Amino acid sequence: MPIGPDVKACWGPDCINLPVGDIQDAWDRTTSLIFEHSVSSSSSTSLTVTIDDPSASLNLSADESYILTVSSSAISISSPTQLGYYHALQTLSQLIIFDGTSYSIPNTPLTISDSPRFSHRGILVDSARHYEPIPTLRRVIDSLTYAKLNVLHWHLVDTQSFPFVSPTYPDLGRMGSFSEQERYTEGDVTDLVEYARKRGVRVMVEIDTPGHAGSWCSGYPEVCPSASCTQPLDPSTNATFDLISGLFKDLTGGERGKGIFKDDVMHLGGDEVDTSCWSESEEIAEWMEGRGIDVEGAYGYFIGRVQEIAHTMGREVVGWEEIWNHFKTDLDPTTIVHVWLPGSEVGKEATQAGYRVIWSRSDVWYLDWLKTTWEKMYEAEPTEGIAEGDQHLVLGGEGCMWGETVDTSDILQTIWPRGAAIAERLWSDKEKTKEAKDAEGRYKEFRCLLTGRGIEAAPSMNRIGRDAPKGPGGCLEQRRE
Amino acid sequence: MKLALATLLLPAIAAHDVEIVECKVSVSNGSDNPSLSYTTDESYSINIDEDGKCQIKATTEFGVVHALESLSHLAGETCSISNAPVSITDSPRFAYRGLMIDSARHFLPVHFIEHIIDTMAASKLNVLHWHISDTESFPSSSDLFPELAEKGAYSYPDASYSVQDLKGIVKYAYDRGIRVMPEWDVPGHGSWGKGKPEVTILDGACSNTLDPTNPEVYTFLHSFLTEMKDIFPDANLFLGGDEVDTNCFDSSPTVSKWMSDNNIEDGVALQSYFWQQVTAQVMPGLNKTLGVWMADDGIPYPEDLPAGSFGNVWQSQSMMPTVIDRGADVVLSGPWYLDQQKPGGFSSYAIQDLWQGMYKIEPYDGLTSSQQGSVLGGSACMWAEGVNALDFDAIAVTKAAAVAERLWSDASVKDVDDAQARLMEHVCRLNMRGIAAEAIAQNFCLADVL
Repeated sequence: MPIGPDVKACWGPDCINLPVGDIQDAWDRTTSLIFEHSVSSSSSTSLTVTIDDPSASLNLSADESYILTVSSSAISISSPTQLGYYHALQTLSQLIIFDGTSYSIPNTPLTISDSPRFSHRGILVDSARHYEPIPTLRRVIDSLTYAKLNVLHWHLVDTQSFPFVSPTYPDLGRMGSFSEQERYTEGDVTDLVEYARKRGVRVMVEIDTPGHAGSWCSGYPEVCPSASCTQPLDPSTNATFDLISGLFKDLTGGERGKGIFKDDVMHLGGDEVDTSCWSESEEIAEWMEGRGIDVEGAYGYFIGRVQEIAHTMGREVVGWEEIWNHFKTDLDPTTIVHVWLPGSEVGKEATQAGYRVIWSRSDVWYLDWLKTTWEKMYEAEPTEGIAEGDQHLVLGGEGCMWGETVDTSDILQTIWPRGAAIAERLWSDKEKTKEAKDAEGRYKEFRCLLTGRGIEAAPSMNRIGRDAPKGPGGCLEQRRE
Repeated sequence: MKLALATLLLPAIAAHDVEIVECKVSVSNGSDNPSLSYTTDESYSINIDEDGKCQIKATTEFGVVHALESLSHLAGETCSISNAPVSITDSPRFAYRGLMIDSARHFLPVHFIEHIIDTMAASKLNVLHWHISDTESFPSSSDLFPELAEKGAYSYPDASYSVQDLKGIVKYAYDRGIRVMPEWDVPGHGSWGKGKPEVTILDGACSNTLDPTNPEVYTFLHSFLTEMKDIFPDANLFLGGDEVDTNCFDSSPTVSKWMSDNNIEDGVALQSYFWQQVTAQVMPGLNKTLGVWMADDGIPYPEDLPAGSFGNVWQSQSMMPTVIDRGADVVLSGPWYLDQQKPGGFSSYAIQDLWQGMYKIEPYDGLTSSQQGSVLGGSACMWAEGVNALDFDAIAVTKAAAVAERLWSDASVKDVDDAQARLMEHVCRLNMRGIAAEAIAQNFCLADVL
């Protein structure tokens, strides 16, 4: 079916104008993406869009399904929500080919009925080990949509830097950021979350405590054990929890659906806590003794208090798997466990006990592990070892782009194209996508799609992530050495 | 495998054992010339039902090799198993599971190296790091530079490897899923000077250190390694770089003068210069990933090496994060030196403490989750000052098996008592195959009476 930039999109059976705003904007973005080359030919193709609820909430239970039909002269998209519509537009953009003169959709008529396997399909970005400028984060969000990923897990702060300027506790960002220009204001966050929302991407913020918090100290020394022992954050003083509460209020508005990070879910970290600074601090040691707890107990106390703060602000909580290892079934039943340790079996343990999990095992889905091949990422299975009856508790997973060894200059070529292997694992039917070698052709094509859209995906046949091409060649056929 | 009473030579198949008559093998991504590299999929599954119907599945032929090895552990000499049904899905934790052998301190005959490869296959080790040459001898032949082995071997030609021998060993290893990574140690630990004195420092206290100030050294190494790169097709090339005595430089008037003329302040800076030249002049065109020894002094510096190089951390395990942060991947061997005969601390049962100490090592200790991604694996190292073909098995194999499990199995597999029971069974199995692996504790093995 021929198609051109003059293709008309209209709404519903009466074919009226598309609703202004998100729906029209998505169509405009799609047409600029597809029709890069100017063509003189015209076609009389039309696209009819039918969405039952075009302003559905963007959350874990949202319906992202769609039906895309292309006949010899007409295209139609129908979906329960705007999210399915966005995905349908992506699929449509992948169907259209350009032969050098004109655009067309081959293999028509066709009907595609599609929906994701998992509802949480994300990429973690770390803006603490390296600040990521807003334009970079926007491009990351754009690239997520091309692979139908729907969560940006924003690991906002860590030991190395605290780039967010909290209105209530401004010295966190003033003293904790790498430099003045490497900061996010409330406005920056609001704009970015809105940018993501329009594209069907949830932004889940992570404030990691009590470990990974060495940067908090410079602004507010009272929350750390001492000037020389800056983390984990001090559990023995209410100053710590007041600060966390104030910071969380700035982020969440204090209520469900409010704030600058509107998402229902908030990640509270809780990983890799080295408690030596607690044991070495006289004050904290005394406080622990007074309560009759050891460092393990203090960790549990800290996690419990922060979770409560998040709950009072209407947020559901995710934590790294260490919280499961500590609490086991004493963990609040609504908490989502984020599996990450290499070879971890926590996915199986936690779902067996009825807890929901998100899956990011480091030995397969950490994107900073350059040696992990796309095949290995593709063939990883988040429900591995989990009984069929418990598998629905696996909400999905994330590729993690930790920032120690990437910055804005190379983050996109590290996330992509291997991130696409993760994206397919999270979207597609398990039985149809078992073997990476069957996906190889499509994987190569997808890398070319990304680079064609200005996303610097690394050569797809690299033996390691983020490496230069080995020699001359086309986008699709490359040397693999 | 049930051991029969001592009156029988071989165990009979007991009534509830299941005989395996045939095993169907399927490979999903096979080819005529499967490539064996760091990214090769070594996974496999074995399914045996109650009736002995057996199926092996793997992505590559090398997964099948591992499956057959595991099947031989299950089924033993009787081709029967006593615990059907069996369902195994297996894949290694680390892709680089190495054994380093040293054919310079003691020559190792070709058939013995093949024997060593057999011992590796039994424990699913998959990288043979072959430390070919050192100060004592240079046994590998070269068509371009025949004088290296002719003059450098302990005894030529009987204690040397012809080019044909080298290729034969590579093929023997490949058939068993084992990569052969050659090492010619530079600029120290060498005997290049026996055949080619002009590439070494001619004046001064050392007779065999390559002369970093001589531009011919780099053209020579490039030519030599270009010849070697197809004989050893593995992606990795190891060039040593360890323990350079800087007195070799200071005591040489020509080198000292060159250093002062070129503003190279000391022996450390001269080594830096050497590796920069290796990167710029020797490595291009070889298409190999470079590996070097990484001592606690951090030399060679990763900044002087090509991007993507790796360091074999052989002194303190705590050097690993430093090496990683400097930009190199790492292979751990420090705690796994097999020539170490005495464990730390007093003990009457040395072998027990040694294998257990090696087994308890965790390569990820002290590493952030980001750094863990740079760990390729590890290597047990059988330095041969005090070992030759006659005692290799006894000194290397049992301990290497402990290291092999650490590198193959999940980190959570660490119970020493459980491991001991399985290791003893494995030693017996090796003994039955004619491999004289060291015994570790009291038991009876049929090999004792055969």
